[in-house]
This record gives sequence, structure tokens and C-alpha cells, in this order.
Amino acid sequence: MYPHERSLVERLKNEPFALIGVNSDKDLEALKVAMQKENITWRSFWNGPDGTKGPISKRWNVSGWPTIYVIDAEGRIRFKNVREKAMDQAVDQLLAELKAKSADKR
Amino acid sequence: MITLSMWLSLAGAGAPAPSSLVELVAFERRESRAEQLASLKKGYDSANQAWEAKLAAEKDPAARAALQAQAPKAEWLPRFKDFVAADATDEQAFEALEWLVRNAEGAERAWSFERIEAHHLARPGLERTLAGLAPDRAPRTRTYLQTVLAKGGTELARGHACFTLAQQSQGYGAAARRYASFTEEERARWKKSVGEDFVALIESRPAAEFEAEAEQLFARCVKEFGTLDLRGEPLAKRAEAYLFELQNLSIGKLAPEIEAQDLSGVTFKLSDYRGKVVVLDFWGHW
Repeated sequence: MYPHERSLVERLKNEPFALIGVNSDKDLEALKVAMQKENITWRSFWNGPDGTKGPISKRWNVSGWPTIYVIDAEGRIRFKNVREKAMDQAVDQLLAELKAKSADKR
Repeated sequence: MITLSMWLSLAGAGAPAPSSLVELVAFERRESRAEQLASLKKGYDSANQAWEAKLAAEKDPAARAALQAQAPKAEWLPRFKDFVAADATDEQAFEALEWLVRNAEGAERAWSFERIEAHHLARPGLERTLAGLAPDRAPRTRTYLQTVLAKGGTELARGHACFTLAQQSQGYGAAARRYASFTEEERARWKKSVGEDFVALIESRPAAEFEAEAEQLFARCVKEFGTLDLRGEPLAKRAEAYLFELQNLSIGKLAPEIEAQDLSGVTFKLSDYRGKVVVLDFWGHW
């Protein structure tokens, strides 16, 4: 999982794109060590001390990890649980839509 | 325990009435069925434990794969089926069927459903046969859930069936959506991996219909079975979480706001990223 996400973040670093995590680890200190080791640079919400039973995953009714949502620039949910190549395609499609829209405005 | 032979020697002495003999034979039979089933379960559990220990100890991938193909389940399934076939109607048969539903899949699971439907729909504990069925995509599992919802003898069984069926409908909806986005080649590959009957079922109706059905069933869980206890939580609470997902977290909906601290304790919002394409990744380092 991490290598793919790392390369996605790297490839799109100059694009209007963000990878946002919702992290469900209970032990933040151990997590920070692991993140340094794995070079995880993207920002995450913390799901709180209850781990996978925390408030954010509860509200989003998440029952499996990882769960992925791809959200467009207007804040709409456009894809769910796309992985690897399908995730890249989804993101590229939404970035292209965004570019087409801002070109229209000009 | 008084054995039949002991009783017969008493009977020889001219004591109880013949009707008691009938009762005693039934009692003996029950006892022996219970003993048979207990020894079946014990035998399977110890064979399975030994196999699992061997598997855990084996590090060589090829040897592991070979070992994996030798799971004792294959050998034990027919023994449980034989036990049921001897008399599918008694309490012990129900227990064995519960074991079969949990451990078998495909045709053998379907075989078990048939016998439960024929003989055990009114039995307390029927809800136990539904555990873990939500991800089972087989159409036969769907009809079993529908049967329990319509004809199950207890509210607990019907409520569980309603919830499981709703989850399954939601799964069908998600699968139908994915299937619709596939290329012809991907479809052919998928058909092979999930089975033709499942593909025929999700092709038969648009995804939105499965989703609407899931919504109705979750709403029914809240209304009709809301106070039932489902693993420590009222069913209404569980079902409402799914309703929220269907109504607010499906494709095309505006993502609900998240406002929480990041890992350094700084509060931020999901909507801070409006204007950007966002991959929201629920993850954990485990």
C-alpha cells in the first residue's frame, strides 16, 4: 500500500491533489516512528484512542481497512475502494475534469 | 445414566408400563445422537488444531501450499452430512447443520440450507446459522435469508435475517456498480472468479435497485427489529449507521465534513481541501 501511495503523492506533487489519511492506530508514538521509517509524509486525521472504533470511521461506517474514497474538487464522492491502477485512473480523471472546467472559465 | 439394558432387566422384573419403554428408547436415542455429535465435533477440532499448528510451523512456501490443500475440513464435511442424513429433523441435526453452514460453502452450504428450511425454521437459535453470511454472494444464500426473514420462528432470527439481507443487497449494489465500469475483458475474468450465477443476478437489475432495496431493509431493521441486541448493540443503531452510509456516502453525494486533529494535535477540516482532488484513505499501521 505505502509504496503506491508514496509514488502517487510524488507524481502529483505539483497538481491540485491531496492524499488525506484517517489513521486508526491507538499508539501515536509507535506510529510516528513507523511513519518516519516508511516515509509517510501525507497528513492524517486521527481517529482517536479507540482505534478502529473511533468516531470518524464509525460515522463513515468503515468496516474494512484500508477503505478509500476519491473526492472531486467540489467535494463530491466519486469513487470508492479503488486500488492501485484504478486509484490512479480515478484521480487522473478527476484532475482532467478540473482542468477542463477551469479552462472553460477562462 | 440408566441404559436400555438396565431398564430391560427391570422390565423383566415386571415393573413400569410399556409407554415408558417407548420414552426410554427415545431418550437413549437422543443421548446417543448427542454423544455422536459431540465426538464428531471433538474429532474435527483436534484434527483442525493439529493441522493449524503444522501450518503455522511450516515456513517453506511450497510445503505450506501443499499443507493448505490438506485442510481436515474436506474429510470432516461428509461425516457431518452423514450425521444429518441419518435424521435431519432432531435438535442434534440442527446443531450439525449450524456447523455445516459455518464451515461449508457452495453446494454443501446450499444442501444445509435446504434441510434447515425443511425442518428447523421454528427452532430457537436459528439466528446463529446467519453469522457470517453477509459477504456470501451466492443467490442461494439470498433465498435462504429471505426465507428466514419471512418464516423464521423467532423475532431474533427474523431481525438478523433482515440485517444480513440488507448488507447483502448493499454488496450486490456495489458489485453491480463495479461490474458496470468493467471492460469486456475484465468482465470475462470476473465471471470466472465469482461465478456465472452471481453475475447473472447483478446483471438482472440496475445497481440503484439493489441500493434502494438495501435502504428499505435497513429502515425495516430500525422500525421492526430496532430493539434487538446485535453483538452488544441495539440493531437500530447498527442499521442507522448503514442508512447514513447509503444516504450520505454513496457515489455523487457531497462528502460529510470531517473536523478533527491531525497526528500532531492540530485541528483541520476535510473541506479545507475543497478545490483539490482528494484521496481519503482510512488506514492504520498494522
